[in-house]
Amino acid sequence: MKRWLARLEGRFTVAAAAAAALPLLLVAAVAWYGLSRSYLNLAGARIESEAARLQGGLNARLQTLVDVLGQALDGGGDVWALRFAAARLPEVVELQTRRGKTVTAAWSRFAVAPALLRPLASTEKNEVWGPVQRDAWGEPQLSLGLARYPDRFLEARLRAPVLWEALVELGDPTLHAYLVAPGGERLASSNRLEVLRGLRAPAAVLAAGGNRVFRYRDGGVEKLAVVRDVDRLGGRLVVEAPVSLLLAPLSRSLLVLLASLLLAMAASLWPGWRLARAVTRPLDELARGAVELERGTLKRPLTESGPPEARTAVRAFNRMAAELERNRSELEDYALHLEERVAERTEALRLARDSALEADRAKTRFLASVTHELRTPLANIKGFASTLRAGDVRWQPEEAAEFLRIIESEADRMHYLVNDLLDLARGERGEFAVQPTPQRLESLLASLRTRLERISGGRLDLQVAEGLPCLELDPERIRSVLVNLVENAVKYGPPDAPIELAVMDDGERVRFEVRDRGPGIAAGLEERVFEPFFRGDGASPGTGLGLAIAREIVQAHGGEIGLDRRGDQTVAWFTLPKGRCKGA
Amino acid sequence: MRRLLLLLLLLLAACNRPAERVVRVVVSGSGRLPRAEAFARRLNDYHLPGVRVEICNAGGDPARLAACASAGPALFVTAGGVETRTVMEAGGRAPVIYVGLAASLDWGYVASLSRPGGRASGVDNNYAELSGKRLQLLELALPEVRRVLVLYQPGVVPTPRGLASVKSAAVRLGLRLGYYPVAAAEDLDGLAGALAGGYDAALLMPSYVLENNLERVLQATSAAGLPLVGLDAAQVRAGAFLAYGAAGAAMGRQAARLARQVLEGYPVAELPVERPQRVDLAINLQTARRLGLEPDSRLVNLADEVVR
Repeated sequence: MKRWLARLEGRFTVAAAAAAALPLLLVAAVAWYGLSRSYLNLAGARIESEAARLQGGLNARLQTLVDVLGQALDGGGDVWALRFAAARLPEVVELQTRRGKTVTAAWSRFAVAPALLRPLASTEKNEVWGPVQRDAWGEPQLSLGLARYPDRFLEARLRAPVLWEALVELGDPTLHAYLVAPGGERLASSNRLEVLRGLRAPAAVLAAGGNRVFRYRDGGVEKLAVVRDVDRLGGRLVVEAPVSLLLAPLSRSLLVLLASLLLAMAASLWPGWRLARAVTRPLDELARGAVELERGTLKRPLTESGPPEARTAVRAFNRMAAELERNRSELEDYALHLEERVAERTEALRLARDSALEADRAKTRFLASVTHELRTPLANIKGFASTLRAGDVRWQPEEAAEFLRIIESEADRMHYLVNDLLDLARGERGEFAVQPTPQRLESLLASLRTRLERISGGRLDLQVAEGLPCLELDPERIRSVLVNLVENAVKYGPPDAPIELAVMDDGERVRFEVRDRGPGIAAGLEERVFEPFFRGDGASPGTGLGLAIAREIVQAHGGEIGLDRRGDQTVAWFTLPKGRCKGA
Repeated sequence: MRRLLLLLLLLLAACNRPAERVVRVVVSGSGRLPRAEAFARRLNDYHLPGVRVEICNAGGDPARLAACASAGPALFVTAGGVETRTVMEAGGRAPVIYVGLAASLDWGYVASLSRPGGRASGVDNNYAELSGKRLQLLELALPEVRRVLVLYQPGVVPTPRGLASVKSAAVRLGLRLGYYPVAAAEDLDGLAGALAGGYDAALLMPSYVLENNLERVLQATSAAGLPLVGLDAAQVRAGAFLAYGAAGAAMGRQAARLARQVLEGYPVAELPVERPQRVDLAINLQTARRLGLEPDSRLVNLADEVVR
């Protein structure tokens, strides 16, 4: 309930309800005041009218009593006259007639032998009303005495409630009427209990002026009353009603009206509250979401409701929360695997460093090799040139020619070395230039066969497969590769063992293999043989750049190159892509 | 929220609806049914909220009468002495309003007429006290009557008071009385023989056995050629020659006013016993003619009701 009220707190629905209810209550109060006054005025008039009617009826009945009993007395006053009178007057309990002090006749409604009544009538007055008496049942009884000149009298005892009942048929059940004796005792009443209990009339009623409407309080109950004098009895007739009872129809109607209005207001409040909730619910959701996000995480996505703008806001909030959640998860994951990542990175850095160091060492080795390869022929050239120029020795022309040839040979060696270095440098920069042209392999190999046989010392076994396709290749470069591979086979293989050069179709490529019976390269060094200046034994002749350049050439053609050990054979191989041979 | 509102409305409707209160009118037999019906009609006219009147007619069966007195109603209304006694002896706390009980003080259910002090009050029919007055009226109507057979039920509370009233009146009027006790309906078998004992008339005393078997009594008196003095105008209409007493229906209406006061919360112990509002004289001239009687015309003129 508290939570519900808290939700209502500050809502405009409450303000609207209060704003609507206050004037309503004000109007109801004013209406109640005005209407109740008018209503009581009307009720007073009704009470006055009823009192006048009752007074008239009571006086008429008393007159009838006097007339009928007077006729009985005038008619002789014998017992049959009394019986006739009693038969016409149900109020009568007992009747008696006297002549002087002698009772001449008596009649009772209940007793066979009526008790004698105390003389009441006298010659002084034709009509006398005596004191009220009560019988064994508690009923008040009126005493009446009639006199006829000179000595005939009639006494009567009358049941006051019966006298009253004959008269009182109150048309309005809200009214209460009673007859009060001169001493204040109730003789008759619309509530017979008051009579039988012997209740006295309130002092305010006894003191009130006659024939006007007045209000008084009786035992905490406010009453509206009218008092009229009954002159014959010397008593008073009172007609009254509780104010609350008189106003009951009005208050009921007003309450029903007020309740209906309040219900209608409540009924209209409901959709209003729902409308307000439609607006505030998304805001509540957003507030909840913000609080949950502030505490760490959104427990569940916000519910979309309300107008489209609110739904859009909630949707955007949910997207934002999801993004934050993803980033948070990633951060957590990153933090969780940070050590692994650092280790990986450290390893990568270590490898890079090793690689850099190796590169540096390779460069050092390379420079040392270049220096070494250049210094040797240079030293030969310088030595033979100095020898030739020495003045103390007279060289024979043959000797000089030999010296010059050696110098020329060493210069050539240096020239080849420098050319190879340039090619290698171009290859490393990716600028190694090949000029492919369509070539038929049979023609290429045929043009090279003599040279290769010379290099191999006649040990070459050329195996060319049938139907080889035409290839796009730079013939000079490929020839140099084949020459290099055969030279290596000669260089590293046994002197008498055959050297095989096989060319075969290998699917999308053409494969070249140079096989020898040499010991091959140590395991794990197959890749390194293609590095510049790498020598397996470290003492083999040559620049050490041949295989490195060969790899550059093959890769420039889109092929691959390698060195395998196959049984007792060392196989140096390379492949070239077939491609389309234009113009072949 | 809607459920809560609905529940609230149902609760309000339930609160606004008064609980039903049953008023059970207990009647020993059809002879007293008119007063019960008159009571029910008048009480219904008051339109008291939640009050439902039911009439339980035992039809002369004591077992059924005991069943009528079983607990349950908010108020018992009894149509006479035997009904009042049955309900009072059945126990319980529900108040009892009687309609026409003879000799209220003799039953012991009320301490005094003005302040009963117990759980019973109502309208005393004065029938016991009026028995002597009936004899007087018979003598006025038929001065030639000299011997009267008094039919009474022995062992019922009002009988002694009624017999005393009759005896006193007979002495005063110079009449001779004979007595015929009727304890049960079977006792009526010998009534014809008793009536043949030289009586001029028969007088009915208050008794539920006699009231509920009035037809047999009338057959016997008619066969004997004797006038029967009854209790009220209804018996005159049924064939009795003369009756003097409060009309049962009038007492029923009078008792309805008392019942309303009890239902409105007034304590029955403080509710004074009332005497009948009217006591009526009724004469059946048809019966008189059939019996060859000529009632005094002066008395006929006094009658409140004459069956001609």
